[in-house]
Amino acid sequence: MRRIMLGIVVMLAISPPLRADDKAKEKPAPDKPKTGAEQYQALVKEYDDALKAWMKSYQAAKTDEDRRRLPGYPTPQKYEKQILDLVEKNPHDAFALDALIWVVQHNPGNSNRAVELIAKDHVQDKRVGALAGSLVYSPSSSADVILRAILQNSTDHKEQGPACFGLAKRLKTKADRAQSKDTTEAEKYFQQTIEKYADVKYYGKKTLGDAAKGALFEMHHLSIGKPAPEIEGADVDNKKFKLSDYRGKVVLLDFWGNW
Amino acid sequence: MYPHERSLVKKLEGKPFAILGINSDHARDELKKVLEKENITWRSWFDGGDTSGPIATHWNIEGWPTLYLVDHKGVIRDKSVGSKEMDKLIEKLVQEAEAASKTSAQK
Repeated sequence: MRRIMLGIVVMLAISPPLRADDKAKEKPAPDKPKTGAEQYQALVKEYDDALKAWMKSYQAAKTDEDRRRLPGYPTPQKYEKQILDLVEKNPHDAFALDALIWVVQHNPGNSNRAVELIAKDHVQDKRVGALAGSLVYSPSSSADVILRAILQNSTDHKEQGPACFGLAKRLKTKADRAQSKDTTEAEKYFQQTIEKYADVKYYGKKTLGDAAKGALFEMHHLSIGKPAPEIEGADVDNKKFKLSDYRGKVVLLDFWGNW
Repeated sequence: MYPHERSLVKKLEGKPFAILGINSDHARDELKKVLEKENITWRSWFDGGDTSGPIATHWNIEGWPTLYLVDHKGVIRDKSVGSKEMDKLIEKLVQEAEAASKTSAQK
């Protein structure tokens, strides 16, 4: 509670920053009701402050016992519903798309309402390019609509690449779920990723080119019914062994790590 | 994960079945400690010390654990990102492997 109170005090002290395209001239007097944009900025600030406060108390905690006594990690879900309600009250306000993008970026696996609103009202807006890498695992089929729009409209290589690769991955997952063998469209976008966006970073040391090549290799050589590729390497004692040493036995291959 | 695998290994002891791990931990001595602590008796390849090791990269692994079930002929029969119970299929495949070795023994 103290955290939230603090948030409000800070909010009153400094007016939240506005986007350049918000009408700065129409800044309301302090007693006027806040605009949708201002309410959105206040919610984002409240979340950021709560997160900062939590990080600070986490770093201050010295023992496991201290850490157990910490309040719960502030989740964006708490703010998400309020932000979406604001957007639905002001669907054509300039802040609406920024707010929807915030929701998707903070909770990509579970933001169907935001994804659908973006696909319906804002898909031609250049700002949606910010979501190029956030929609791969969205359960909403509207994510495909947004990724296709980014691929077509964006002029930024770093947005087009993840959109192309993300679309390919989604099409592959869709075909797998339908148990369809027709993966032509998924392959087309993996191929396009390799041809045009191979240099774009993916994660760690990987580029989108590596990832798309890996995905195609998996589709062609690692599906059920295909012969397992040979594995050669060494064990914990540096003794070499191969998968084919186990021919004649059923083998459960387990890619694992203790983390 | 480990308890289920331990029970699989125990249940299928003496049968044509093996679990083989591809491990992405940072260092061999870390792995050694885990093997002892968790009583992991099956063999693992040490895959270069991170998740982008040569084996995991070749197999396009992006989620851990990922499981592949390979039959006695070396053919992929099931796969799963995330742990999944494959016990029934494993037992069926073990029977196939046993039947195959009997037939070849008779020849």
